[in-house]
Amino acid sequence: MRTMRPRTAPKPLRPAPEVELPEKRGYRLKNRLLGPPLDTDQLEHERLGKPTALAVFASDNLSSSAYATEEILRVLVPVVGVAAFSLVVPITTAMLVVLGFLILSYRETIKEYPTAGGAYMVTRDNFGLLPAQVAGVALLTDYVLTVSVSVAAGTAALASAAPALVRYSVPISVAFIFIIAFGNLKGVRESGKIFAVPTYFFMAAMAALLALGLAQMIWGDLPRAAAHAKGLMKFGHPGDGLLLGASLYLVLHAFASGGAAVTGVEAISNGVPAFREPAWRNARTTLVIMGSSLGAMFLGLSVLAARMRVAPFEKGTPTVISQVGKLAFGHGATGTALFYALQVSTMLILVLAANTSFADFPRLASFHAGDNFMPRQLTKRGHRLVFSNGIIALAVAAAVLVVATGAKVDRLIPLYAIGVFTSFTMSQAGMAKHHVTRKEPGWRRGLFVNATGAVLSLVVDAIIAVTKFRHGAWIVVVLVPIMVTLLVRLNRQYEAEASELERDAEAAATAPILRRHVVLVFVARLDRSAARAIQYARALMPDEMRAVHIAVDRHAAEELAEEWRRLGLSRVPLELVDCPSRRVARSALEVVAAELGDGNTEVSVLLPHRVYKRFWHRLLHDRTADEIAKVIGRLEHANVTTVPYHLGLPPPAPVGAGPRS
Amino acid sequence: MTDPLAAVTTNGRPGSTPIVPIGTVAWREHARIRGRIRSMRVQPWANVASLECVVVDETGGLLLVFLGRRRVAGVELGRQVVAEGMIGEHRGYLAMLNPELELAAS
Repeated sequence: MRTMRPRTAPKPLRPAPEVELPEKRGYRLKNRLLGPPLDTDQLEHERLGKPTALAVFASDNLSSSAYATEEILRVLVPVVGVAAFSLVVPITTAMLVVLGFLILSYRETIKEYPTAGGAYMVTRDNFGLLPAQVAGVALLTDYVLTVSVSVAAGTAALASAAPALVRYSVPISVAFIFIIAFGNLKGVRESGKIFAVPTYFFMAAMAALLALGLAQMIWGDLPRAAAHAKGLMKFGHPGDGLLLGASLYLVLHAFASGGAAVTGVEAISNGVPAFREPAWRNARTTLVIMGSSLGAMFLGLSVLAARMRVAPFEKGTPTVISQVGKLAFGHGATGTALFYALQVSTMLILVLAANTSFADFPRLASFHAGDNFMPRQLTKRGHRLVFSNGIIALAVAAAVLVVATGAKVDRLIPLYAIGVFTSFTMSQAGMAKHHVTRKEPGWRRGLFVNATGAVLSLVVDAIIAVTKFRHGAWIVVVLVPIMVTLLVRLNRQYEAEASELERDAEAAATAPILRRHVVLVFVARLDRSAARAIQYARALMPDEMRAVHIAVDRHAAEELAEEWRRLGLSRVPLELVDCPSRRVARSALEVVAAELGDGNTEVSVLLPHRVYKRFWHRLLHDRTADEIAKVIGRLEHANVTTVPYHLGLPPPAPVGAGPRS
Repeated sequence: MTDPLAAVTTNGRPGSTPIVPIGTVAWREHARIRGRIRSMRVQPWANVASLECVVVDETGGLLLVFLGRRRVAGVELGRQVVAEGMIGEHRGYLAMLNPELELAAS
């Protein structure tokens, strides 16, 4: 046959294929809320300079200084009373030593693993997939906790400035979490500007506080906190028969609480590719700046709190940092302004710290999922190119935790930091192994640094796990192995599926096709939708075709049969199947199974499907067809097709009317 | 097993043969069965007139085929029927073509 020449000149194609269907309501709502969808090409990796990078990556880390001192005091004050003020500075210093080693260790990691992935990648590379799951899960747990702790602490900062809000801590915290989650779903880029303001604002406020405090200390007019304010924690009395071992335990416990301060150190190593070239060198510099700033702020705050004898309040507010601020800044106009600036900046940086987790958690989860250890959905980028499912999972988990603990920082802290130190330990140990196997120039120094880092992290981890076990750490100690077991099970499932699907795929594609093709059109009544499905069935050119009616109501079935006998209906016979049990889907399954019995038949089941213009029209009908589809879909060689009939549309154009103009 | 003469002698005397379970009927033999109509197949006007139905008891089922007829009085879903005739084959299934039909009380 020759092709006909078109009578008119052909038109160019449209830039996008035309579909005259309105988008779904849900999608339109999503567009309205989140903004227009982003194309994959728009996924750009913003390269950050050092100042911006510091703002982006340091918020989690620096924000810890807002509550670390308080958490140390909280452990000490009730037991040893005023002696706490002489213990807090040494404990802080000890924590800073750990911090120092971690920074040295992470400098190595950044140099050797300048790709994204951090602890997960390092562990996977050096110890294999299973240990990587442990490191990853530990870190994921901590990301959830970072969100909960930061938001709870941010809310506490807010409540310290506006005490009336204390009662609404939980709803405020949850609202914060969902606002941050929403922002991230919208795809708040890790764009420096949003981050730079609060981070540097906080650093400036802290600098003012510490400078003023130190000056007051030097001139000797440092104010002191009132010793008997209402709501203050009860002071314990030192020497109440405390044995040496018990006091050592107490100090370790306080040290463990301070461990929260160093969380967030890993953030930079997770995001080295985001730095401007030379990425690893810039990342290292930024890491050192971040560590030194954290150290200065943490130590400074601990020293001031100790000298001012600031004790935590039973309820958590006003916070230690706000008390220090209030005392140092005084009651003048400038002082009050500075105090509020400190509170606002604290709140902002804490909320921002939560935001860091919203960038890290979904990414880490996507690595797990990419290795088939977490649900595949976590690897999918959503509407705005972010890992939407990971963001939602994180928000829900963090919100649950906040509600469960009543948004109390001190109840969350015992859970915190174990995960981070576990991942520190594993990634540093991985680095140590890396040095041993590679033996690159200078590997002995690297080995020393990383091995020390690993040992220190392990020791801190053990201290945290033991001293805070009773207070909640056990939850993490129990949860992480359970999670890892689940992930391994999941992985086995995925692997089994993949190997079954991939086995002999080529042979399967060339296997002989089944000899017989039967098409069954399930009809409820004789109407346009059934007619449409029968027309489609004819287009399939089967060996055998018939309409099937599952008769729940014999009388109605008889009427249908009578109608069928009268009409032509493309010569398709109608089978009525008695269904006294009224289990329509089951009867349908039996009909299909009977056809499949000879093992050489491919059955196509057509279900006329009404497409409704409005969603509530659908509610007026039951979902029998959906149920039939679901049940029959479980038979091999039974293929279900829904044939749409569009309700509420004008009658179709007559055949041969030509293309649309 | 069955005496061929017995079949001959019983033929033409409907109602006198004993009812057997459907599961025991054999191809090309005369039988009298009783069962429930589980499904039926009707043809549209444009096709050759025929009515098929599947009759089942606890032991098995077979097709009853009424050629040349679009409806048979009393052949309805769920009805108990007694049918008698030669067991033949239709579309690969055991079938009675144009059987003698008694409607049992349902």
